[in-house]
Amino acid sequence: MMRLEAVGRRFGDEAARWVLAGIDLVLQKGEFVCLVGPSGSGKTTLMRIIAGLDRPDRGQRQVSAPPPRIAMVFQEPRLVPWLTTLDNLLLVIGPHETSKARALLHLVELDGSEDSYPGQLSGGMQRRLALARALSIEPDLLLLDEPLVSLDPALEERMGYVLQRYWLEHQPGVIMVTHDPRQSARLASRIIGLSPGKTGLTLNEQLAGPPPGRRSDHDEASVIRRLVNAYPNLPIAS
Amino acid sequence: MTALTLHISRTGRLSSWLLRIASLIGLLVAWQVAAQLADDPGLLPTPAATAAVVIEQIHSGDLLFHVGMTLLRVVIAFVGAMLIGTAIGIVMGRNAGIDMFFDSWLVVALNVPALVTIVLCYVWFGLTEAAAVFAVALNKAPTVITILREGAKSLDESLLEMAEVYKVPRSRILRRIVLPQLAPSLMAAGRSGLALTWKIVLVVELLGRPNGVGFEIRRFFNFFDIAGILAYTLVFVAVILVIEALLLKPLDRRVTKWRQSQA
Repeated sequence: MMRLEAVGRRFGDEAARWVLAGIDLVLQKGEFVCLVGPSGSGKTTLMRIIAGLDRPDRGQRQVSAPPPRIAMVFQEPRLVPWLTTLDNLLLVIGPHETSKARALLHLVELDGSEDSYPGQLSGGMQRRLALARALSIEPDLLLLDEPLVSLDPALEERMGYVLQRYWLEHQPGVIMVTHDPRQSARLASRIIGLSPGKTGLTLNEQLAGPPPGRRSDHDEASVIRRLVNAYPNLPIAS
Repeated sequence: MTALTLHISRTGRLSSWLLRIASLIGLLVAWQVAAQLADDPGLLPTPAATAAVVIEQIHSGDLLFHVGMTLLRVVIAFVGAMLIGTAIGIVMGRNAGIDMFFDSWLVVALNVPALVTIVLCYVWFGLTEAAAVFAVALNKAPTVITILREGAKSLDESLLEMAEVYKVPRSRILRRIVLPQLAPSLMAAGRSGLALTWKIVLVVELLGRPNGVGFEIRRFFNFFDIAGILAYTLVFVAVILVIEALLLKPLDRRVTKWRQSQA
């Protein structure tokens, strides 16, 4: 679906440090990739390059034909403040898709907020609306930049479940930036680590064993253990 | 909204209306006093004498015709200047290269006196209706461009990026994301523009049209008829105030509705 070859990106002049260097990455439909790494390791930059919002200074980004439909949940919700909750969804799926939009609002537990403006929603509600917007276009590739932060634990669990169910049913490619090892252990079919200071990917682990959605607590614990062992420097201590 | 805030906003609106009316009465009183001090109806007629001229002109049908003609020119030139100015302003605001290239042109355009544009248009295109309206629009457009350019420069990039990722159609981006952000600029350009436009239309009419308020004012000037000049001016100012109150203010409230709902 998408292939990155020797992708590098730096900000500033020739002397600037490479934020990303030599990234090789193949993304397949149906993969659930978790992207981990400390702040400043280029996770967001990599996501922006995959989304096509940023151009690499080196290497190239190739997409399959026809190009995949891409949806992205940004770190901040990026809702349109003068459009109601419902209109924020209709903006991306078209003005006649009201019933679909309502169903999505129900999915993320925002029933009854159709006519509220984003400024009237709590931070967690805004994040869920951003998630609903991403799912609304039925993406082939779903990019999630820490989509579940600032949700309370129970809600985070339920939204993780919504994400997982969507993934199991539609099999899009998913790339999710997360700091939470439990989340990656529960959801990921592959975990990619980025480290600052070094160049490129430093962890690219194909997770063996039961696929996400059928993992037991024991399986998840073993994934977390492997993650921590492989990456003592990553801020993923549970 | 609670009962208390409703009460406060109602009394607030009431007292602001009272203040406006008091201010208008104050203006009339000052005029009356000045007219009595001048003691020469030929030089400065009283408000009552001016009102009599207004009524007489309305009865004869002249006033409605000339005010109508002027208003028509104002509307056409205003809408034209707003449309063209907005389009150019957005392009300049969103494209640094084009902005840099045309910036000095804009400075020139802003500083050419209205009279020069009008005279040149009449000379080049003849004493026609099209030349008149075009000259007015040409005077107004640079201010619209300047205001809209600044508005377009400060568009929220993060929302445009979001729309880009989600492949939102361009026309929808313009209507739903860009224009709402430009609403304050559009309102500013519109409100300042209406006043400017009608003043320039009067000059255009004075110089080269066979009708309209400007034409009438020149006729009154030839006969040294101050009451007539004041009568037409008052009526036209009133028309513009009505447009402002009934059209522009409600529009302003509508486009800022989402902001109020957050308060």
